[in-house]
Amino acid sequence: MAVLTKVDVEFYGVPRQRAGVDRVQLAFATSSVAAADVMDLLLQRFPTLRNGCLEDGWLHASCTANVDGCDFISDPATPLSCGQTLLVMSADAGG
Amino acid sequence: MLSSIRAEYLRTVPNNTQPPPGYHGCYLRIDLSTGISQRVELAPSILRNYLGGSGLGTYLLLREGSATVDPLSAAASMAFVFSPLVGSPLTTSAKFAVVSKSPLTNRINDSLASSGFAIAGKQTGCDAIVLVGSAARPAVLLVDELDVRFEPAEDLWGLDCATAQQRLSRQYGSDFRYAVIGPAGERQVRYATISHDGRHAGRGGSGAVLGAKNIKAIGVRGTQRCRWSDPAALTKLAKEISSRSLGPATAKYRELGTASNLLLFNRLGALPSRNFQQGQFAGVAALDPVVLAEKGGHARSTCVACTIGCEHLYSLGASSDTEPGVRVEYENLFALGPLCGINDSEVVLQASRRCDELGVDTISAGGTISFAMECVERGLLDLPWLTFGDGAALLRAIDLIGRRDGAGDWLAEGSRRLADRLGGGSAHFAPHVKGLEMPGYEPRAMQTMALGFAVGSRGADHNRSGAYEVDFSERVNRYALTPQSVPFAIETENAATVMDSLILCKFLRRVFTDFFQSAAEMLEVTTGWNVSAEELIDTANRIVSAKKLFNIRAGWTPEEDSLPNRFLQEPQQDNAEACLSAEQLQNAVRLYNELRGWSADGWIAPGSADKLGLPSND
Repeated sequence: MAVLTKVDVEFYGVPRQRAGVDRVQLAFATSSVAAADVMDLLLQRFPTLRNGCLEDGWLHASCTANVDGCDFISDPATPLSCGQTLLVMSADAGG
Repeated sequence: MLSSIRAEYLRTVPNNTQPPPGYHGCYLRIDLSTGISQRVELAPSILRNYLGGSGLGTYLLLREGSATVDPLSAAASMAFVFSPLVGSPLTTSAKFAVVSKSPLTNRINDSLASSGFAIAGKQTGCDAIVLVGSAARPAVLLVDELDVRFEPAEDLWGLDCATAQQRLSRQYGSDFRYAVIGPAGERQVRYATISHDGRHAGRGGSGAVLGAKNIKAIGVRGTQRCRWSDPAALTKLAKEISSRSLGPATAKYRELGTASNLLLFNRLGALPSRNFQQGQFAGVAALDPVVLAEKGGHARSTCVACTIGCEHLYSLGASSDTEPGVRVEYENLFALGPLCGINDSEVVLQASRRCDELGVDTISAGGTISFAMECVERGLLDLPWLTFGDGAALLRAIDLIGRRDGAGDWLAEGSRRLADRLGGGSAHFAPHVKGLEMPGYEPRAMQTMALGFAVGSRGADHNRSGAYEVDFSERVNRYALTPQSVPFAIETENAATVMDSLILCKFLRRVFTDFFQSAAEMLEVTTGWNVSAEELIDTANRIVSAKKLFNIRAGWTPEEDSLPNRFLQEPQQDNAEACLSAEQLQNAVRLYNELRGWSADGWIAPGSADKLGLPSND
């Protein structure tokens, strides 16, 4: 597969528990990648994310995502560029 | 030694009064100076308007005229307030509120906690216990339904919270449930806590208020149970909510605890470090709860009547097997770790344990100590041993605070008073709002939360404003406080207000798709009131306005609804994007005030007390 886009994914909270790793790099053969594409591949790599983190191709309501530590996203169509980092985390931030 | 004294009891509630289901329809007012106790009727309209917990406590404090008195004087009153849901099968409902004027802020303070004290307290047959006056000598107050008595406490004075509670259980029985103060409360450390079953009503110094009244502990027990409006529907609803509370909506709290915020907040540049100079901390990995568990062991626990089970306890590496683990939350981890530049997990655990023993709020302790560390660094305070990153210095400072010994006497006053004392521009970076030290949410990187901090009735507070939820979502740009953010801040404050008055744990939030609708259903099956979600939003507005009214009577001015200048004049050192201007914040505060129905400056219209069903003056 010719890799055109690489996206780093960092896990925090319950998604880190479920994935069993802190981070992973995903490679895509397409030049444009949507956040939903990343979630699909994550589910293939880490089926345990189905347990309360990912469902129906997107995040469970108890989880959220952020791009590069800046923008939180809720739209599965959000485009991601090569080299960007997607943070997948528990949504609740109560202390 | 003081011998046991039985309080004189005056009945003021008519015997034929039928309170609403879920309530006893009265509060117990105990004058510690005279020994006279009374049951005072609470009209159903008051209960419906203020619910319980924080709301009812605010009403009671206003009724007692507490806003204008010194909170550490005998004239001050404090209320231990239960709620209509206490004693029901609804998960997380075993909570009570301690409401008083804060000795730290001189504004309204409501600190909440979960324990068997809430259930036993309500079983005494009242919806709240209000203390006024002051005992002549150190005493234990025992409320055994109608029997109120004072026992001598000289032998308990000086004991740490847990030891005092164990001694009380042996002496008076474990069927009493106790709320106790530690040495910090006795010495009126302005951010002393009230402890019960190892948990604390933590913020704002309610332990100092109890200590000023010469009360080491309150024990409660009883057999009075409230009736429920629709017991079958209540049981069904409770089962449904409990079932949902075991799912993904609360998995983070159950499986990891709030401490798991640490790494995420650090990644997002929102972890206050070195007295809010930075939003990231280089040594954070050593404080990851996974590392804590690997080093010393880990156990889980839960509050009474809770299905979530968010408590995570970590053992000190050097501790014996018989020592209980240290309860670790995000807030004590942040305040006694990164905020003070500490990355030694053993030190943070020891510091947390010491705060619990002394009865000291960990957030205010960490905030005040980190502020002092920066003052030392800048040459404003001559305590050369107190430096960022020095674990031994942190532990020494906590001990000094608990004893009000030497420099601890200054530190026990909190960061605002310490800045007043030191001068030299230190107020610029004293990390508080209204005198209450800021919790672990960097406001420049979370600007809806910045608004929540600024307008908070008890000061900088993450429990009365849940605006961090908004900042960590796509709904706003967390680096740009705009008018669009303001309704979100109000919405989360309203939800917190109703939760704190019902009382329910905020960790249930995501269990509900429409919290106000669910809360209305809970009230209907317990009280029989046909309550709508809209009525509960009105109730939240009423309670927030009542707190504002208390603060106005206590001397509030619009200038208080702001942040220290550091947050308005400097970007975060490690994140230039995290920058908030005074103008942005002021505009948001003005809009907040207008949306609350107040003047743009935050004043409540004349005559509002009547509309709120409150006494028109003190």
